[in-house]
Amino acid sequence: MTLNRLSGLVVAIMGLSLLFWIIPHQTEIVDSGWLKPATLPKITSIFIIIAGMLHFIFPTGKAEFDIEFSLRVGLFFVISTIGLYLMNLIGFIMATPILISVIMAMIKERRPFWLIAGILLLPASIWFCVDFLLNKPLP
Amino acid sequence: MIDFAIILGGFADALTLYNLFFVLCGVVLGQFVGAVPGVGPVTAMAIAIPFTFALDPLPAIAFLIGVNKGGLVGGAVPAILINTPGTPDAAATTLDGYPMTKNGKPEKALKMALYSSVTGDAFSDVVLITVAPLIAMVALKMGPIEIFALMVFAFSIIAGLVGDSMSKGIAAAAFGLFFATVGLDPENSTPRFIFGHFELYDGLPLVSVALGMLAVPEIFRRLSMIRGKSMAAVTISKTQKKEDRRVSWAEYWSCRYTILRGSVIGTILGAIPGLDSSAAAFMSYATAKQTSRDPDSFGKGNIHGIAATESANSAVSGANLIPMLTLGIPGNIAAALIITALMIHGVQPGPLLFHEQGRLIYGLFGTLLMANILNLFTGLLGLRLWAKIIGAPESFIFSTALLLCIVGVYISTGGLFGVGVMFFFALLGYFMNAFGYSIIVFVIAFFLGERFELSLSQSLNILDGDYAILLTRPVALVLFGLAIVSVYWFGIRTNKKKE
Repeated sequence: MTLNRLSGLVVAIMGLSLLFWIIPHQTEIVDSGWLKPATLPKITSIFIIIAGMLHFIFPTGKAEFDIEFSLRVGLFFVISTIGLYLMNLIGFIMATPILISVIMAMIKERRPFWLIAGILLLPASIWFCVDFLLNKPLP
Repeated sequence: MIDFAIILGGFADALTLYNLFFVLCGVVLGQFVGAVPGVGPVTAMAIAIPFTFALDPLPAIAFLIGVNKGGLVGGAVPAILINTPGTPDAAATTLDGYPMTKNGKPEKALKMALYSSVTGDAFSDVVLITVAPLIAMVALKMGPIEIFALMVFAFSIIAGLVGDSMSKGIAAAAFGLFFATVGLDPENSTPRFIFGHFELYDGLPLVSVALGMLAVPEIFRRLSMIRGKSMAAVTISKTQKKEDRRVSWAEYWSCRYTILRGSVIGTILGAIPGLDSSAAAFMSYATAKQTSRDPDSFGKGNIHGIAATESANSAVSGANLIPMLTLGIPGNIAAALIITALMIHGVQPGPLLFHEQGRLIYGLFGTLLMANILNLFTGLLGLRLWAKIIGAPESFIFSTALLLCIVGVYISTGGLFGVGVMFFFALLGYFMNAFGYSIIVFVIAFFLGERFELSLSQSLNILDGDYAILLTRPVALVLFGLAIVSVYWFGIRTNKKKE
């Protein structure tokens, strides 16, 4: 079974979980009105199920999923999420140089000029423009 | 009876060095803030309003208009150079702008964006100046049923963007529409899919979804590709032909129908209060792709793609002033801010405005035209600077882009929750892209979804089960008819052609 075909099954399962699990638990039942809170979500989930099943049975198009590359993308995603958590914890000014340092280390950037520019000048200039000039608070 | 003395007096008021200075300041500030994702011209206008108290009404409005128009041009810069739209209006510009940059033609892409933006803007300004009251009357006839019909028509155009798999396209559109239903439902105001997060009462933030789906996955992808010493984000060969750096008259002229179509779409949608420029840009892009002789080249760096989106989103800005000046109804947030500034200066927008403040209004029209010309020249100077910036290595450019996305969303949404939402959609966008599900269809469906559900709810309440009322709504009937034609033309016929 190809990944492309399998994606149709995954989509159909997502549609089913929306219809029978998420929508009933995350919408309120209302007796009045023409358009109930769950009406449009239910219609969209039915479309998702039908489209997913159709794709599972008659797959068209293609899927290009490289597991090794996706794991590396996932790593950047995790690093950024941790960076976000740090911003919440210790603030933008402290967390951003750490986040950029880790990213620079991951991609093996060794040139001092670009390291200084990314780790120090970039966060400082963003802070200057946003916090100081525009008077908008940063995390 | 038209009083030419008032018209000439208004234009004479506008065309002074004093006003020129404020328009120029506004344009430069607008282009700068437009290029910073998340900040945008609306934020800059909101911040600037108190500073305009000290000015006379005309230079104050001239400055705000300059910021707004400059922002439209500035938003396209990061969209083209680093695949990160500076403003949500420029989201559609990434589709062909960034591929052109990757093909080593960033300057050409930026110049086409600038020329199309200025042309679209000038078109809607001319329409505003000449036929504003007439268009306002037509726009006023657009009730909820007509808006719903327009939304159905907009969705029908998506049929042309689903690519080589109809089932994947339908799934992507349905997911987009589903995510648009997060938040309070339009009829009963009950919360849906908020999972205990009060931040979701207003729905998913547009900017989080747009940057999450379009920009962040590409940033992660590009960062993941770097192993060892990173090269310049875009390598422009020193022996690059002059033609790849500029837009020739022949190229601009070849895009005339695309630009005209985009300008018309932007002007019409802009005149209808509540419809934003993102919808206009995506609709224009879809129609340009479908009417092109080479639709497969769209998304791979087709200059017509940039012309279509930039002309449409810029045309909205002038047209938004039509309902504002004639009826006192702001078409979007920028127009609402201009109304605020007018009212602060003692000017009451509405049907009597042309009669009571004719000279000021024609002065305003003069500043609109002035802002367009300044946008062109300031843009041409600024683009050289921007094109040099992307000569920096990928490690720096994409780290900057990631940080700008985080800061931009944080400012727009007012907290880190919006940034978390952006990361969620980045993950979704990555998987959708890897498995061939159209991100652009998802984003368009999401953008249109909220308005679609609201107008559906209002229409059902108006009809109250009596669907014969539809027969008394000719505009809605025409739009429904167009939707049927468009599904056949863009979807069924195109697929048959491919087979």
